[in-house]
Amino acid sequence: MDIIPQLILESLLLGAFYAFMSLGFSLTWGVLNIINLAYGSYILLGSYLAYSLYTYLGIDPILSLPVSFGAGFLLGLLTQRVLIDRVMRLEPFMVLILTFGLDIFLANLLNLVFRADVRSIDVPYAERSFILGPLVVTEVKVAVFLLSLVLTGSVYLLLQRTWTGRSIRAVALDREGAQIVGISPTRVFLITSGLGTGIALSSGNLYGVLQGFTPFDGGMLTVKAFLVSIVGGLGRVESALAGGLFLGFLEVFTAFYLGEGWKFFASLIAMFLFLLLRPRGLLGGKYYGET
Amino acid sequence: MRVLEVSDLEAGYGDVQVLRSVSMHVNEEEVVAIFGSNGSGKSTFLKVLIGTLKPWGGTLKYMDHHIEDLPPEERVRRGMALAAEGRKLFLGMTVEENLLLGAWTNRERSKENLEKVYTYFPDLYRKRKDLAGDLSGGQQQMLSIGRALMSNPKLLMIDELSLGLAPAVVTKIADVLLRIREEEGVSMIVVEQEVSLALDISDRAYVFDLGEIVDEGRSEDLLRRDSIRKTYLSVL
Ligand SMILES: Nc1ncnc2c1ncn2[C@@H]1O[C@H](COP(=O)(O)OP(=O)(O)OP(=O)(O)O)[C@@H](O)[C@H]1O
Ligand SMILES: [Mg+2]
Repeated sequence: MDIIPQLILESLLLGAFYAFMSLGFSLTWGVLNIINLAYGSYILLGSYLAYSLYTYLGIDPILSLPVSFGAGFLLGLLTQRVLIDRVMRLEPFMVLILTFGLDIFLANLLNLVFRADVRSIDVPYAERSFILGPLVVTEVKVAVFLLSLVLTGSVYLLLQRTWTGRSIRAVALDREGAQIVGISPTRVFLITSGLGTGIALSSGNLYGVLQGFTPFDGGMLTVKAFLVSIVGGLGRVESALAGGLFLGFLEVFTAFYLGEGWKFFASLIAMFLFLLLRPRGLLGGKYYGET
Repeated sequence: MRVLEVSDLEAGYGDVQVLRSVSMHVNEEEVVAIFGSNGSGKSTFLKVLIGTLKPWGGTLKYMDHHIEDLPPEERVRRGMALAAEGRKLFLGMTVEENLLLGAWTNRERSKENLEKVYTYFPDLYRKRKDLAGDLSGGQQQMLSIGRALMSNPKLLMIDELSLGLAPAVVTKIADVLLRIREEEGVSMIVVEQEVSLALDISDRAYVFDLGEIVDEGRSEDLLRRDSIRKTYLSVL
């Protein structure tokens, strides 16, 4: 069948986006050892921010990526400093409840401001397509794909090549080891939370140009980020790429063969199966916090 | 001047007290050994010194300054370094990355210190691209000490110097330690179960038992003392 190459192409494009989108989730999970249930709503915050900047000021969502990242970074610092840090010290499990509440709060806040209508960021190039022989892809998807790769690559370089990145990995691998070389875990938690939330909001810009969104899509996005994280295994950028591609293929193929309505079900079923059968992910990688 | 002065230190976990009224000191360029039975609080003591465990009471003075309230990063910046029990290496990172992280508080000198550590431990140079998790026990111990040296410590603390290592490796590491002391004037606290080794490489020693210091003295004197020989050196 001729449709297969087209589906594979779509899967790859979408998979790269999911990898970038989930990177912040897997990073905070791996380094802080917490699961942030508000993550999906953070993504939507970015989408609505990009939507507002585009609709009211005419700023292209790609140009406003740094704005979303910056806003997310500050938000991450703030929530870590004011809320999460204290709770995770006293009772790590309660962070789940805390971020669950935060998620509901953000969804309702967005609903209050933007109402529940489906919004979309309709950039002028949304309708244009590239045609490569038998394959057709929209320019938007290609742009999102390339940006996702560049941004994921930047995070990789940050983690591998900079002192800050090394300190983040050190805390993830051995918190006490990090302390005895003079790294302050509290500071690393702050930076990681900032980075993770920055990634969430900026991926929201890309999400917003890919498809329509409502204030209550956060839960679904969190599940996707969770799935990507457990499929790849925590801890490495490569893992997020593997997980992202998995989700890309799963969604594109399910949507084509079973219908759009089955897409999210497939994610959920995959999540349950992974939790049951391969909780360490496809690559069998170690969790950040272990060793 | 004393590099370290500890008075009436009390510490523990939760509400279980481990250290009871521990007082000791370390002079400049001195190697001090600590030994004593399992669970007597030696590692706990080093944790309190580096700052990952808060003391309940007593005073800690380093280079004439109180450090009780300083976080570990500030203590490391001022020249304290610990090669910890269990080594606490970053097993998923390369040898060189582990060493560089040892220079976290001392980045300007990371290049020159890296070379220095590689001269002390040529094995580490050969393995610099390998993951720390793939090293042998002896190499990991070298890495742990090398990482501690990357911060240019004035007081180097080593927990379980010889545990699980072949005698040849232990000799190699002990030689390096004595060289470091000579060349850089580093003071050291070495926790070591192998009492003959502990007394051999140190100037003075403290004996821990149930969280208290039960004996202390110059190493050469302790080596000749009957009580020490019977209990710890299994010679009659
Ligand atoms: N993290 C901890 N939480 C609770 N208790 C601890 C902890 N670490 C050590 N202890 C207890 O504190 C006491 C002293 O332990 P510590 O590790 O300091 O002894 P040690 O002298 O280093 O022993 P070893 O020679 O076996 O290394 C022990 O009774 C131990 O069970
Ligand atoms: Mg010990």
